Amino acid sequence: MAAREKLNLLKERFGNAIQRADIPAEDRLFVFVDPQSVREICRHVFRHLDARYVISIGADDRPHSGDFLVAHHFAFDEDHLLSSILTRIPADEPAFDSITDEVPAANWAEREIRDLYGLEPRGHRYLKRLVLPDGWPDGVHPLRKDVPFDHVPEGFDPDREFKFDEAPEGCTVVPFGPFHPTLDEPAHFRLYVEGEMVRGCEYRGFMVHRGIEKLAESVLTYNDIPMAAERICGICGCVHNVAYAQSVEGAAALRIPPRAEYIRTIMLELERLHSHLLWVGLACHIVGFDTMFMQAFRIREPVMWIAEKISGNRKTYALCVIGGVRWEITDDLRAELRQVLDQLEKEWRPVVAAVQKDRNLKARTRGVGVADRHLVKDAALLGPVARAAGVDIDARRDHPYAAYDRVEFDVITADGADVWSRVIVRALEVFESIRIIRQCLDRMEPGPLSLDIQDELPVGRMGMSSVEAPRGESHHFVITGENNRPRRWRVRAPTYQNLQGVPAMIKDQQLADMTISLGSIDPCFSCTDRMETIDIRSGAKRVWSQEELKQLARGTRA
Amino acid sequence: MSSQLEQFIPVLMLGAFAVIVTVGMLLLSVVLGRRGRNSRMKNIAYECGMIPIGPSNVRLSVKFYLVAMLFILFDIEVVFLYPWAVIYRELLAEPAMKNVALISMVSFLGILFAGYLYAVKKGAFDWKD
Amino acid sequence: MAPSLHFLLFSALKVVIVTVVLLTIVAYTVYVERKVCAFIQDRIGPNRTGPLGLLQPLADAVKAFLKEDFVPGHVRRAYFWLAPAIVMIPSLVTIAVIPFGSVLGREPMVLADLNIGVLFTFAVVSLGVYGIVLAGYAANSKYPFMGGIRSSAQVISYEVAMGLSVVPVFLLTGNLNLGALVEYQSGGLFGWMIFKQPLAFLIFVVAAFAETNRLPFDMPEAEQELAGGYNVEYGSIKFAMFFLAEYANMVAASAMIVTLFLGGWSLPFLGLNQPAATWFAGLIHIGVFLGKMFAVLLVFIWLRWMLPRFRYDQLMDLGWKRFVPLALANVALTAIVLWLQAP
Repeated sequence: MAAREKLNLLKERFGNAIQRADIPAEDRLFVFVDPQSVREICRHVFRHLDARYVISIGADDRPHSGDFLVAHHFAFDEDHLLSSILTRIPADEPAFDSITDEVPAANWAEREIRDLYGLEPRGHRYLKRLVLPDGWPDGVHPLRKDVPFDHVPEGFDPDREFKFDEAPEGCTVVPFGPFHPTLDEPAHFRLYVEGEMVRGCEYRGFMVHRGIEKLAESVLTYNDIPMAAERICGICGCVHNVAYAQSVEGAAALRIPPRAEYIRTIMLELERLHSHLLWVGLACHIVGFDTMFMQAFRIREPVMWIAEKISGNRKTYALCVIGGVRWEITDDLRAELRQVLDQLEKEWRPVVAAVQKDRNLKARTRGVGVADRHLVKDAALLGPVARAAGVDIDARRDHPYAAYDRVEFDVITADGADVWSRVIVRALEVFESIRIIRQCLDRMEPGPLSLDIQDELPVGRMGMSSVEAPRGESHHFVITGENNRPRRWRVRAPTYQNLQGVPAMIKDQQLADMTISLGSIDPCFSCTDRMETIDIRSGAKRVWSQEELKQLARGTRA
Repeated sequence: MSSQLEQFIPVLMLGAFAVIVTVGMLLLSVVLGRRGRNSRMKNIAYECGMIPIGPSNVRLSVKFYLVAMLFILFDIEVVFLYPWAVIYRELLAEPAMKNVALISMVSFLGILFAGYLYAVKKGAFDWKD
Repeated sequence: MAPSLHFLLFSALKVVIVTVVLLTIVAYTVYVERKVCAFIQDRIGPNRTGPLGLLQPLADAVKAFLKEDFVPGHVRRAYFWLAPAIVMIPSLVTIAVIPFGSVLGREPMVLADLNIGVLFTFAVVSLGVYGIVLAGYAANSKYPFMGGIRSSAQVISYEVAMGLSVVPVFLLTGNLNLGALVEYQSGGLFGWMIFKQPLAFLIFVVAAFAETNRLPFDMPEAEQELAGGYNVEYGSIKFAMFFLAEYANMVAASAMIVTLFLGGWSLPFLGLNQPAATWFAGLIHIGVFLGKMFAVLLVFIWLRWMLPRFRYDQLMDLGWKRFVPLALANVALTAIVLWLQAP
């Protein structure tokens, strides 16, 4: 049993530093450790036990235990184990040992904890504000439980501007985004360019503040949250929907009916289909191959239609409730879905063949945006980016959920570590998704769609769930709570980690390769910006009123 | 001779007409174009939606100057080739000039090619570094 | 000796007609491009303005004129106005030396029968580069500046290959005059330069793609890379003029290809390889020329939607490292072959 085995390894080495352990299921491990030795333990887990870093999470547990919590999540993919290393941070000394020096991928997560909980990461070398708005006053930490969800802080300063780092000597600063023809997303890269070569960059994202996590912890209920969760992402919302439901079900030790598991699997794979088709189209658009872009969208369209027939929506399927699903896939729909898959497979084969043979495309993408194994490990890159570098990880196989343990599929990998490999990985994954859906359709048996849950869910339990989104593993963490809602819900979308690898990927590349390199991680900024802060538009002192915004748009306000 | 010069008159006419058309289009747009409101933001240079930073004349790779210089060199040499090309067959027809016509120009091409090889070896056309 | 009134009058008439026809062809090339592109991409394309959307070019023109003629505050004003004009004018003048027919009545169907025909074309085409550089400089902003420099470097690079590629053609004809060139080719189908000088044809066509900034060489419009190019800060008719000039250049390039390599107005059968004796034959010649030109244009358009774009370094590599030596070799080879054939 992997969980106990790893726990014993840790106990052997660190002895008393391991305070308490909890193994709710054989594939989950929660270890409370001494805050003094957390850095050492994380280093050991990351470097020697070769675990994959997942995310670091803060939580305000003061109303219950008087402490803050900081959790570092690691995955042992080969052992099918997700683990969490937790520390209690006393409220009177809000600081914790940073692990970023040992685990570079923890950079953003620790800065986020600092912003949102006011816990200072000791030893972190780059403590710049990450997620809060620029004008947000220091000292107000929105995810603390004493801050109400609709809080409007005193002293919001709309004139305060983001401080960018100094560009290196001899480099020109070329801004990239947010209003870029290819990447009209709330993300801004400040590229340091020397001649035609990119020497470095600074990323500024987190411009959108939606407060989804705070809302979930203070206003919504368990069964509201799936609907909010799927609005995190504009493409792969169902992933969050399922991941949330599964983490709650894991915390409450619920086992959902098999038919619901199959339906979840089918919808997740449908989503992967349309997401990958969209991405291949976009990648071709980025290298100026618009015909492929249009054709990919045409091929993708029936997938959207069948999704609409099943759920009533092309996207935002509103699929999950705690304990099951809401939509049935009837026999008629099953037949139709099979047709859609046949058609898709028939049309996609020649496209993949054409793409694989296209010399121009190869020339444009081979050796571009390289993220090798070491970068994948250090920056904890995920999904097709990792698999294109030959790192064989896939949450569907490594941490099976829904019905993935009952279907056969291959995890596609490549070894180029470049954009080209990512194109191929995604193009071929489409066939695997089709295969999975067909098996599900064959095997799903009649039965109830969801559990009939009468009791309150248990309080104070922790649950986590990884779902393989089209872009990589999406990880959700939940602490169940009172009032029919979780105390803490943390979403780690794949792009959150993948974006942190982009500066290394574009360094010493040509400026012209910037777009396709960034595009190759299939960035989803709305996932990354899910944001725990509070909607500041609701009345802070000098926030644009609607009228003012209108004036601004008309240009009468100079 | 004058008839050849005369041939340039239509060229001038065409040029003049092209200028008229172009200027006409520019002016017509000024006359017909809708007047919009002006604002500070509207007058800011486009830098992906951010306030512009730094000087607008970015530092360029020195390669561009190299390319410009090489262009001038090669283009002039190409121009030298044209008169030779035009009279080449006439020269070949004269037994006395036959070999001279070929050898002189092939050696010219050889020198040109040597210069070209030098530029290639020097990496003048390598953009990836 | 003063030029005759008759000559002046007819020249003026031809100038006006040719320019108007050219602009119309340009407008409808845009329309055809959109329709063809839509066909390739399984879409419909313009279909709302007039039957089959045939009035679309008109609507586009009206729109361009009615847009606010905005000059941003940060630009270098004089150059900002000058740049589109400098791009536009040469693109209209290029066609001066192209024989678009044999004779109509007694009037030769060419605006100016210059004995240095090809050189004139190259010279005029080169002028357009100034407009591009100037546009980039005038905008006084990063992307246009970089875009302007990049595309001018691209254009001048391919000009070398283009200039070299046609030297063998003139080795064969011994005359820079384009009319003479057409006559030379009118002997038979295999008299066409495309068959006598296939390598020259290939290099010339590719260079023409690059010169006219067509995909896969469309760096100036590579919006995905540099957020656009030299024309980022432009709007209304000024932007449209860059656009028009590009298509006019494309039309001119097609006309050049037809004249240089595809036998111009002549067809090697039905006696259409001789200058027209009747008005009817004259009109047929013009039709033949236009037909060939549209065929070449269609190739331009078709290819654009079939290929991904080159990256900048690949494009420069192709120009300097492949085409320049190939063209040089072709010149030497042709010279040697002619030398061997000489008595």
